[in-house]
Amino acid sequence: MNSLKKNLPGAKEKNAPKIRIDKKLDAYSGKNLFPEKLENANKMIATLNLNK
Amino acid sequence: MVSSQDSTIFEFVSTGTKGNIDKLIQFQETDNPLIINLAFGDKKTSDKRGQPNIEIDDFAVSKNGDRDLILSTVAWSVYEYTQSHTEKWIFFAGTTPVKTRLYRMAISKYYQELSKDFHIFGLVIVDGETIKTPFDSSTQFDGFIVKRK
Repeated sequence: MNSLKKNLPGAKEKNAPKIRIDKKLDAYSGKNLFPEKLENANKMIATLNLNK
Repeated sequence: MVSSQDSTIFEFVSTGTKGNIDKLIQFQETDNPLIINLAFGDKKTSDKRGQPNIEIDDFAVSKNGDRDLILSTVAWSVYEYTQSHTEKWIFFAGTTPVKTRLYRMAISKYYQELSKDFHIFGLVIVDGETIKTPFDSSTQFDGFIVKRK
């Protein structure tokens, strides 16, 4: 539990994971790495009204 | 954790009872320009025709013993992405009802902290329509959508 709280977003900044830029990942930025998840997401949000 | 320059892809390592498992997170554009789909899964590399190729095991249940740490890492990626995309709504849902329930439990547990920085809604499908409703810990949601405050 304590180790989890340390990693909790909103907890102290010093406990945030260090994020390093890796340009190798840029090659995948425009690609759909999760086609089924995106398809399911689009189905669910097709009838979603954000303003309601 | 490493990230692409545009903060749409993150990679990290799950370290647990089954050893090291590479994980990928992607923030994907959807058919609605205001909504981004949050997806993550196990990264596998294969060699097709002599070229390295990333494949994702979308439905993997790694059970590496560090579930909470993984969810925390994914949450941090949402903080990172929304820092430069404040206007976007982030949608996510489990690939199974069990996983969706897991996300609900995680949000419930840390709702007080998360709600300081995010508007958090659950999504329910009623008569074929997806409805956004304020999050609560007892409703069985079909998905979730959050937006940075």
